[in-house]
Formats: sequence, C-alpha cells, structure tokens
Amino acid sequence: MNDFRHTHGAMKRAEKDPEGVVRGGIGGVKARWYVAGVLAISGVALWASPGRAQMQRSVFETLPVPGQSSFPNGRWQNVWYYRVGFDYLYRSFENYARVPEQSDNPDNVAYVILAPTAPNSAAVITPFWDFPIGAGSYQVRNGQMVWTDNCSHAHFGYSAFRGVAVYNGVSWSSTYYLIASEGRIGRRYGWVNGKYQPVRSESNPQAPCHVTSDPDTTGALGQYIWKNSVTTLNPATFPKVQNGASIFDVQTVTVAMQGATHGFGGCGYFQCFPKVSVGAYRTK
Amino acid sequence: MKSVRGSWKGSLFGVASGLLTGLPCLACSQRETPSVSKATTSASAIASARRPAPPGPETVSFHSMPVGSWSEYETRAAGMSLRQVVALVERAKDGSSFIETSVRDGAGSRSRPVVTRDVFGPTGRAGDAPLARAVQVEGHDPMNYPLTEGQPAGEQGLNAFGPQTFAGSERISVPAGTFDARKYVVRSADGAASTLWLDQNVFPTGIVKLLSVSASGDPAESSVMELVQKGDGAVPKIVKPLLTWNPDAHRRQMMSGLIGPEPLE
Repeated sequence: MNDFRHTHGAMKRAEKDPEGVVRGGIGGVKARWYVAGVLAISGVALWASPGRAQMQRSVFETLPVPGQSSFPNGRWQNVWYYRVGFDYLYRSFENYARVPEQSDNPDNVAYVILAPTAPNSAAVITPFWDFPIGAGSYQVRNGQMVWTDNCSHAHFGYSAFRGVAVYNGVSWSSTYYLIASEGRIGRRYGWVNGKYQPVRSESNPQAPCHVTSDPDTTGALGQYIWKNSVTTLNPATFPKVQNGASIFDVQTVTVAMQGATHGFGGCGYFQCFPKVSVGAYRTK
Repeated sequence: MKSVRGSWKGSLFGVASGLLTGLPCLACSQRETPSVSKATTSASAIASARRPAPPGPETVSFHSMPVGSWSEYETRAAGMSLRQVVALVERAKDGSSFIETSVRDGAGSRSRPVVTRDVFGPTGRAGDAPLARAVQVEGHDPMNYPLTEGQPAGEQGLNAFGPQTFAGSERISVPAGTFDARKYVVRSADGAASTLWLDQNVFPTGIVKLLSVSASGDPAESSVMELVQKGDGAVPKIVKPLLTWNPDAHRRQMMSGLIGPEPLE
C-alpha cells in the first residue's frame, strides 16, 4: 500500500482487517485484491426504521462481509467482498418519495475505492445483483411508505474514475479521470400465470420475483439488458512513477454507484430500493 | 489562509514590482530560503519552508513575474489527457505569491474541473515546496489542501533537474510555438529517463515541455506535459474563505452527478 497515498479511511480499515483480502478470483486466477468496499443498496433494511436513516453510516463506510454470490457461472463464489450499509439519507418520506435517477444528491451515491497494492496493477469492476428481491419492496404511495411489489425493473449506474495525481511544475494536484461507466441493469423475473418469465405487469404486487442476471433482449421492453459491466483497467496503461521526476501517477480507482428499481410508470425516479452489490478486485 | 479579497491591490503591486525588477533576471534564479508568509497556516508548512532546498532547476522567482501571467499545458499519459492552466494570480503585500492551477479533463472525460492554489514566500519559485495550499472543485467552496496531497513518495518535481543535469540548449517546438530552451535530462539506473525543456520567459514555471519515458520505452507507460499557450490577465478563482480539508467531501464533489453514461429510463 505504500505506493498509494490516496487511501480512504475505509481502505485503511480494510488493510487492518484480514477479511479485506479477496481470496478468490475469476477464472481461477489467484486474486489478492483489496476491496475497499462493495455497495449494497438496502432500502428495505433502512426503511424498516426509516426515521433512523440519518443515523446510518456514511456511504464511505464499509463492512467486510464474506460473500457468496449468485453471479453467473459462480465466478464470484470464492470472492470475499464488502457490502456497504448504504445510507440514502432521505430525511423524510417526502424526500424519499421521488428520488431522481442520476441524482446529483451525493447521498444517493455510494463509492468503492480501490487502492492497488502495487504499481501497474489491473482493476476489474463488476456490479451485480446477487439477491432475490423477495416478496416485495418499499415504495411510496400517496406520500406513505408501503410494502409492495410493483417495481418491474432495476437500474444501476456506475462511473469508474482513476484517481490521478498530476504534476504542474509547482506541486501535485489530484483529480479524477472517468474511465468507464454503465447505466443499465436487468429486468425482474417472476412467476406470472404459472410461468417463470419477465415481469411485465404491475398488477401482481405480491409476486415472488427477482432481478435476474439473464439477459432480456426481447419484447417491447427488451431494452433493459443485463450487462456484466466488467471494466478492466489494463496494467500496461498505468504509468509508473520514476526517476523522482514524474508527471502522472495513477493512485486509486474509485467507482461511484447508484441503483434502485421502479415500475413501468415510475420512469425517471427510483421507487423501490432492493440491494445491489458491486465487486471490484485486482487480478494479480 | 489569507483572503484574496482586494486582490487588485496585490495585482497592482505585482505589476509595479515586475516593472521595477525587470523580467526575468538571472539573479532571481539563485536559490533563496523561502520566508514564511502570513499565508502559512500549519506547522508542517513552516517546517517545510525551513528545510534546506536541494539543488534545483534554473527557474525564476515568482516575485519577478507579472501577476496574471499564465501558461496552459496538456498532459498526456495512459490514454488520458488533462489540461492544466498554471497562473500567478496574486502577490500579497508581504511578497507572497499565489499560484493557481486549474485542471480539467481532456475530451472524453467528465470529472469536475478543480483549482489548486499554492502559496509561496517572497523568494519562492517553481521547484520550491509551497507554504500552504487550497483546493476548490467547480461549484463548491474551497478547502485547505494538505501540502503532500497527491504527491507520490520520493517525487522531487523540478528539483530532480539540478544544474548537473543540464544537457545543452535546444530549439523545441510545442503547440504554443518554438522556444530556445535549456534542456535537462535525468536518467535512472534502469534506463528510464525524464527530460525537461525550460525557458525562463515562460511564466510562472518556465516549463516548455516535460517528458517522462519508462525503461521499457513503452509509450503507454510514458507521459508528457507540453505548453499549449500562454498569456496574461489571470485572476484568482479561489476567493472564498477556506473550509477544513475533508477528503470525502472533496471526492464526492469531484464525482457528483456523473453516474451512468446516459439518462436512465
């Protein structure tokens, strides 16, 4: 970690915690990734006592949770990751009622910060849904939070930034450089009319269904395509600090994320808040 | 940190000072121990200011330069392109110089423009450690900025190019034009090299071009900083009182509103 100074407090905690070491990897490649955080958007948990939402942890806080996800092909089975108790910081039902997607509200965005343990390391960032929504989700109706299940599909967006230090002849400045972003996620599947299929109706509020990782590319609403959203940062593209006279230094990779679900009629606003996870790890 | 309100006074002072002292003067390039200005805000800054300065490049004291002078650079590395404008925006009555650097991404990227302010004593020049720093993300209030924030361990900056690294004069062309520059080369044991082209008539840092090439020679591992244009008339962008440094808030400011590449449905 000595090569990277822009380590967030969460990352520092991860260093101290042996569970912060990712012990698995994709394709059998031994991964020794330090994962500074993995997002979990958990409106359900928060809104079980909504008045206490503001007492939740900062979005930068992380908790190490050894996870076993249902990511396609079980690729993540051995990966330990972090899950963040995401604090929407919605101070009231009124504020909670209509949360614009892609909101500028930083409280609606969670961050994962990766601090590679060595120069020239690669990073892989993969958001995924690894849970069933279950019997429903909280939603706002007429200004009241109600337990319902008419959110038909989910959205997820992230932007990955390189944390860059750049020299200007006077001093070093830190900035962030956008390297990847993704803004789509999958549809909900469920048992409808005795058949397991994409949920295309909001008329079945208690249907047990979940967001699947299966691609859904057909139908009138087939534009909601699941994408793995894997971003790999090529190690060769990380310039090294050298000679004591460098210009550029890539120090961190930060992923800003936002995600939730809504019904067909709620476009543009998040209404349901199930969990979303994102994995970020190092490949070597 | 001093307020820069009334900065026009400093600007006038700076212009007058520049006219009186002449620009540039080689005598000004002699290394002097930076004094501690009232802008100094921390013990670490004071300690930094009192450290013996290592042999550095032949840069010119900021005090001898006209306030408002600026240079714009393009820095390219790892497929990224950043634009930086380095400007001498104010000179305080005690002779302190305020250098602001505005950083913004090149095409294809969207992080927020950010301004960094470095404060130097009356004898300060490029290569010296600043006495105090501030940072401001577009649309947000400025904060104090730790002196070492962003600086990789062991980096010497321009001080790596001491007089012993002088490799002769060379005419060099960059987007801003052609310059008769002094060339300095630093090589490491593994074959990596950094080259600096310096012209003391380029304010405020003198840098015309700075090239860093890895030992492998792989362009993907190399980086370059080139002068794109220069001018005068720069004014301070950081004018509000400084907040306490908050790295989390800073990070949020830099990345807010940038989730996803397109509107979600």
